[in-house]
Amino acid sequence: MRLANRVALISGGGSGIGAATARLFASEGAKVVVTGRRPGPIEAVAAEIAGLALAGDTSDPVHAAEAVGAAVSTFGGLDVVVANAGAGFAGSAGAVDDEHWQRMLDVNLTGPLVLTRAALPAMLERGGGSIILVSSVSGLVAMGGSAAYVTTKSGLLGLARSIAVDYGPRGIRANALCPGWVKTDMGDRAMDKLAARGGITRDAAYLEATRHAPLRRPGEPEEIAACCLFLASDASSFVTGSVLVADGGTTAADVGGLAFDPRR
Amino acid sequence: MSFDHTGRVALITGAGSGIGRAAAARLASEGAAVAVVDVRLDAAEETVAAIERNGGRGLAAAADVRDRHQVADARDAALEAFGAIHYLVNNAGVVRMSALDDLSEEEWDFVLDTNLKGMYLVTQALAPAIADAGGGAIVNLSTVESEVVVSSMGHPQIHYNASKGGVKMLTKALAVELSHSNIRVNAVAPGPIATSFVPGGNLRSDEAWAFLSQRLLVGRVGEPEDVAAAISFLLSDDASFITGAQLPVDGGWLTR
Repeated sequence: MRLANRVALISGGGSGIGAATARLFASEGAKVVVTGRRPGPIEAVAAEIAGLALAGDTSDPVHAAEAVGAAVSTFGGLDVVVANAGAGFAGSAGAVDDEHWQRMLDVNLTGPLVLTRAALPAMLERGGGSIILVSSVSGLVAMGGSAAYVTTKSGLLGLARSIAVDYGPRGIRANALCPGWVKTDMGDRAMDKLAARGGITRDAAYLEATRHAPLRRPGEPEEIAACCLFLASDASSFVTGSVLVADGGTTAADVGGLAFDPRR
Repeated sequence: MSFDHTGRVALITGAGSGIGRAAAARLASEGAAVAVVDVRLDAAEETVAAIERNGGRGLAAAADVRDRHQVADARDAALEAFGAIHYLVNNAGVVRMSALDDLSEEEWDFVLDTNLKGMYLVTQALAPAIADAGGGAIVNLSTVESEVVVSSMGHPQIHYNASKGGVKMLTKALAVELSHSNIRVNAVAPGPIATSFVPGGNLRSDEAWAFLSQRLLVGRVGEPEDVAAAISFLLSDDASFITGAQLPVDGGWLTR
């Protein structure tokens, strides 16, 4: 039980990486609060793991305060935050409209900040803890036609470092996690676009998108959840301010977004 | 706290002391059989004795990683004892300190040959065996000094820095090449770890802490066990989607 007696708060916990992380954390002994925009999926996950679900807008400070409050009042405190909720909209810098740009800033960057800010007092009360910001390989390299996504995911790396620097001396570790293509709802939607363009199936699109990556396959949500577990657990107690890249080797081989290159 | 390495076999170079010994102890406690390789046989035997006292399985072998014949002998001994090899930890390394003006070609070669060429020789010798086992994982020991020059301690070590910068890129290149053999390759980059590796430096001393505490974000110096935990994670199936990565285990050293 690598997370015995720990309480974790996971945003975007209704599907994909967040749901897999919630299940894994619970199986390792943690009490888990999951948040998400839609009540249905997070309530289903919470019911499965005897956790708590709280629906709301990830960038809303009132919602974040309620989620932290629920963790403290129901489970007695808060030790781990996984800021996982995220959104993706297409658009190059010249094409992205104001509404989508703002929405991306709100969900991908303001959301993790608001959640962290709400969680810090409760975590400090416990003498420290671990904050995991789920970024993306798009925080390291730029995928074509995704200016807002690339910008916000890059920003998360800075936020993780800032939290690590400012709160490390008080026992809080903060790290960023950069997954490559993972079979999630968000990944599915991206692949469906690629599939439509190429007249291929979704699965074929996943393989096309990862064809040049060393592992030549997309990741499973459970594989990213295992990385969150490492960063949440004492196995990483000397790891802070770091960026853990879990991308099947994609960025090592410099093949970030080849499949999405508009010239292809 | 632990990862499951039941039924796996690991070979660790430089496992007679420090991080290598801690990694050997951890992997053995998590179910792996460990071939403990060190240039000093008595040091390797001490590590194996500690493993066996805890009920684990280990084998001591002497090899200088700069010598492909000694490396092949160690590999063969591991294969004969345990039947297969799934994991390699390229941990053997040396550090020397000399200003550029005083740095001899012999010392440059000693550091580069041990830290970088040795990693190539050992990986070349073991990769086919790991592939034969159906695949596995390799972890290379890098350092935060592959990213930054820790000059404020006043110990010039351009050969060490160059060798570890090479390790970082070697890790990526091996990850790409060995993906065809179902072998993941990653690096850990330790920050200040309290081992005897740092010449003249007891990192637990008050003097050392006066310097280290300016940089570290956690309130302590690292222990070999911290790095062993990261090595165990990267070798394990928990890290099945991670390859070509370098993970700092540095208490926040590189963060600001």
